Amino acid sequence: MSVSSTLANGAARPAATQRATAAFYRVEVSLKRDLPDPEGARALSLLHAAGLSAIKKVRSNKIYAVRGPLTLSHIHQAAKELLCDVVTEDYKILSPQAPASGSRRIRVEVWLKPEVSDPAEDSILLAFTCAGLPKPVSARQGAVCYIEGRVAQAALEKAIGRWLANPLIHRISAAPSA
Amino acid sequence: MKNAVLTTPKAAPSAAAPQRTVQEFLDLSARGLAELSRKSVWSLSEAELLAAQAYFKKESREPTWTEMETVAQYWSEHCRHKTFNSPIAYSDGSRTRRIKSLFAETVAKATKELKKPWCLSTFKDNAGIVSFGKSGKWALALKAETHNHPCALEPYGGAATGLGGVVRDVLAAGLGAKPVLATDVFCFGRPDDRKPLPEGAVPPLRGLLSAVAGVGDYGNRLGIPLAAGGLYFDDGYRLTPLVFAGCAGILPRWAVGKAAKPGDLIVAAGGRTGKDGIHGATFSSTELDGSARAAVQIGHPINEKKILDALLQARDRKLYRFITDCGAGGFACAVTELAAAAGGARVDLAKAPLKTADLEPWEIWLSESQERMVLAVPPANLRALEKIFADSFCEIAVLGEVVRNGRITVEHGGARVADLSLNFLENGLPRAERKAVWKAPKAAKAGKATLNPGAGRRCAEILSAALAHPNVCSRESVVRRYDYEVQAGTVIKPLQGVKHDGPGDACVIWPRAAVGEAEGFAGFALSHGLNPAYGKIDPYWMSLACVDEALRNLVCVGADISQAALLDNFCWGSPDNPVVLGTLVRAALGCYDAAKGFQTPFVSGKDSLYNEAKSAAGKSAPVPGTLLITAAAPVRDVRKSVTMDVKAPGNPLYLLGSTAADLAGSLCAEILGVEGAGLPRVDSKTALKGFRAVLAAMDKGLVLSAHDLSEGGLAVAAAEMAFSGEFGIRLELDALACKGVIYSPEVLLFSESPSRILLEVPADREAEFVRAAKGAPVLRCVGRTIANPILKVKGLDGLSVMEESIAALKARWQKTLSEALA
Amino acid sequence: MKAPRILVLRAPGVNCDVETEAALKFVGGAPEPATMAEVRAGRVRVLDYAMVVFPGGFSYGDDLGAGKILAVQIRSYLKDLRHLVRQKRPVLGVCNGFQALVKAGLLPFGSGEASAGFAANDSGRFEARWVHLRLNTQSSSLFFRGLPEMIELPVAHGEGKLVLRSPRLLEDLKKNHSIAMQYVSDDGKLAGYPANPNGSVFNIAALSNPEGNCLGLMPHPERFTAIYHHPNWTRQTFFKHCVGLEIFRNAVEYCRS
Repeated sequence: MSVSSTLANGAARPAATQRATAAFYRVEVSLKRDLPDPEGARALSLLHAAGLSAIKKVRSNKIYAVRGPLTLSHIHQAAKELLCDVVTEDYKILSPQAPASGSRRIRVEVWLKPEVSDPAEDSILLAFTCAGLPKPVSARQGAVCYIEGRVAQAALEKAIGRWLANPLIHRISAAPSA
Repeated sequence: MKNAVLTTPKAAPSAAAPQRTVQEFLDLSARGLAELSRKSVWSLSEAELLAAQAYFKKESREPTWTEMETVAQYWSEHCRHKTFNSPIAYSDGSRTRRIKSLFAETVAKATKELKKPWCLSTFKDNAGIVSFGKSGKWALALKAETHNHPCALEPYGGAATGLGGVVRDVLAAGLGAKPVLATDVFCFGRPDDRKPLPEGAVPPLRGLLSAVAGVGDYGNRLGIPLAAGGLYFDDGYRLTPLVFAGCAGILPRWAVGKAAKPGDLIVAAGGRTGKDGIHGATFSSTELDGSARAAVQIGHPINEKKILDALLQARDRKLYRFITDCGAGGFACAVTELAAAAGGARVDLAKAPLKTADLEPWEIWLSESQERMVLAVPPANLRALEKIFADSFCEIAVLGEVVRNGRITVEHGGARVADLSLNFLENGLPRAERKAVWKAPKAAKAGKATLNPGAGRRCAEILSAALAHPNVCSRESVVRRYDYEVQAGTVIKPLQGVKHDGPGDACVIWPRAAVGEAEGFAGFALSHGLNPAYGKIDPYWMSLACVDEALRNLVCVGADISQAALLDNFCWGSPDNPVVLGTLVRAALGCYDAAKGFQTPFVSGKDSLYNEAKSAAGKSAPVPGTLLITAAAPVRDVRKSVTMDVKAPGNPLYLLGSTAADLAGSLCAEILGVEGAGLPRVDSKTALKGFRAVLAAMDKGLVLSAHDLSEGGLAVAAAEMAFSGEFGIRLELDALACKGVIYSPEVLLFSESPSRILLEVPADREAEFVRAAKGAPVLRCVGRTIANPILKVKGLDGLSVMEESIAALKARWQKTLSEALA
Repeated sequence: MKAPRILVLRAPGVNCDVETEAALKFVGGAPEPATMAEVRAGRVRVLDYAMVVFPGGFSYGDDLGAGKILAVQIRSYLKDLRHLVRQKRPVLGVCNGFQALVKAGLLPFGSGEASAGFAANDSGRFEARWVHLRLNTQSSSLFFRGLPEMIELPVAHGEGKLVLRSPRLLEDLKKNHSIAMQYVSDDGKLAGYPANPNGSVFNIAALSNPEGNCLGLMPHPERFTAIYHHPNWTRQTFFKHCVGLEIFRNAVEYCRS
């Protein structure tokens, strides 16, 4: 039941500290393009309230970090059957490398800090076993926002910390995205 | 699924670590002790530290850190309510009164003197308990709590865990009540406030949205209807928001008492223990300065739901003898409370299921991880209890047992980490006398209203502003985020009227499914009273006004206020400041007089002090002294309940109570930017007679709609009744019964004189109504409902004062919050 | 006649079970609550029951989407449920139970493959409100016997927007009379928010299998089992029919026959 302390930053742990079977995956789940994104619209209106009126659009996704004795095909099965609703959502398995830079969109990841227990963890672990998959060692749920419009990265992180997340319990990281 | 239940918890690896003692504690000077307390976030005073030192001198040993942490938790303001239980020298300018215990001499004294036989348990349990229904089989547990300090830092998690905590209080009332209603009241800065904030402070709009989401996500998942509550906005809350959460639960009469016996196992049930929220109890006694250690968590409502499901089954099979919840102070407070009630306990912390293995014993002892309960279980019942909890996927673990030796003994593996005398913990807390000073402000003296008479158009403008005011406008955009009908018992809903969007005065719960009885129409109503604006002028009259408001809200739905039970929640600044403490004493004195005057006992209460924060300019300011009164009363037959929307045109409208020039602290004065004179002063004797008369008429079915007059007075109440029922109203101001001579239509329409209710009476039974309500000291027909959808007011001179379309008034009333929260 | 045994299945976070059982009892059923743990352990078998009900709530906190984990469990541990549906015994899923039945592939067709899903309400908020609904008069649903075409029930959910895998599926649903209820305005027309509280495609509020014995609906029939549940009972201007209770009565009477 222990929560790995480095999971939440979204970066893979150095291989030396892992058991051979404890692979680490990140799965990003997005609404299908033709569906409205009320969560993104809410974020947009709050960022406007924060004074960042040049932001034009916010799209919100969910993200999962799962560590455990899982193969790539396991994680694809889990993504398809558990982590996303195939009728309304798409998923992609993220590579552990940082996303490409130099784009007009900013990608923001928000995770609960490692010392804050994630209320969704038990459910995620349970879901894997119910679907007949190996039980992960740990799992966390986070949020991703894609932000379009002119805004300085530092100002954005600050506004998100004040209006959408909370630096006391969340780790917020923004980076340009493809 | 099987992995979700582990009945053999793993021991932490540090079990063998030697138990650290506080080196040279016995030799420290007072200054040294104070320094140590500050560094350790114990929040203990010098006298308390010296008392602890004296105790350990007598035991001739140094304390362990865990022991000192236990003392700090158990003696915290949060757990012991020191301010309300310590002597106070209270001076009100003319004389000094020595109060031995503010609690015993005000709130609790009224309850004791009123001696109501239907009060089954007051102040001593996790919640107050009163009898419920005719059969004598049921009882109702009531509790309201605050979670202000966590909400200032993390409003989503703070509000959610605040609700979780108060629900656990009800689950731990007696042997456990089934929660059938949850409530929330928020005091925040204005949602449109964009003024600069200090680093780390949460903008009021964001705070409100997050708190609403936190309560909604938690309460909706638990399946407890959130059907009563309130929002109040004032600049005084922009840095120190107040978040109240309440809960009512049904339990069988036989389950009201509880007592653990020696040999009973001490069992922890629910979520696992982690490093969450350590020092929550002591932290809430320090002023927020942003650097305070973050005692914030987010809740796990499904864990609480699992406890709820399993616990009520175990209760009905009588598998345990005592229960309490883990709130502030975690096991340290919960197990010690159990030990204090049972005469002693021994526990082994290595047996507690942990979230992570790296917890020190003192952290396990103090952790405030959410969703945990502590039970005392006869050993023979353990197997049966384990099965029930396993079927609900809920973990339990035996921590130790009840031993009648007068001590709380805490071990970890083989090592002893704390061993304290319960007598010392319970009775060793030194009580230092505090000073309190009250100076009556000039505005509190009755005087003439500063409003000018005349100016016909102005009434309509004031009404329009009043309806759009954040403290009056529609709460629909918040209410609909809560599942207020789960459990199928909400027969009078928070939203009422033709379009289901009018502002109800109180909700009525008919717990038919919860008690499992198809027959019977017994229910109860619950309402609130809160008006800090009056408190800024005189907290004594605020207390009376709050009790009056809560009771008249109950009357409006037809609840029997002769069995109304009250809950008090005081939220104040630092009691170390004699002026702040003076206002608190004055409010408590008001509570006593209100309870006695209305003959309504308090059954439970809580205070939250040190609600202060530093502004961007670095100035520390206390929160406005805020009293929340929660009132609950039986509705003997829910089929006779009344809503606030007018029902048909052509019916006479009666106004209960007389109108005076009461504009101090009023909404009208705020809108006009004037300092109104005349603070509403409740005359409880007259008010009570009026309320009883109205209830007598309601019982005969002679009242079609009823609405309480509060912020914005008669004009706002009439407008709300009209647009909710979609018929017009015509008022005639010369028909109002007045105290003194009032010429100004503004004063007549917007005065906030207390104890008034506007009633719609069936035209064909008017005479019958007048006979049934003859006990009312002041009751006048002041107008009629009309088919034309307008609010029309005729002034003293017979000329029209205003004539407004009710659709336009409703649009104004609906806009403010729905736009702010969109 | 003996009261039919009805399984009311609970998982952690399911929270409308008590009033659902009460409603079944009021109309002469014998509801028996059981948890997923008991089903998994084989102590409870669905085929022993005349009817199965999945009440509303937030099973497993809806942590992976509404009803998702419950749906996975239905697939893995309740394999007999499809058999029970084929035997024409009534199955009812309310709110979260509906979401789970759809995600488990039992509705709208019992193919076992999810052909519909749910997204967050268009408003982005949890919505609790009473809605007007039009029943499909051509539906063969055993739950609707004797009910008027226009009814009112409360909804309370955050993820109620029904989405179909393809536009063709909508045509199939129409053809099979599987669209059991639609959100309408008070004058019976298909309308947008707030009449349609979540933005469901074609205003779909409930789905039935073509045979009519398996029903899933977002509104809560267990919350309208007495006239005092209606928001306007004090005005006495509404149709005095406790629609929710009738839905349960139809099911229990069907079990008896």
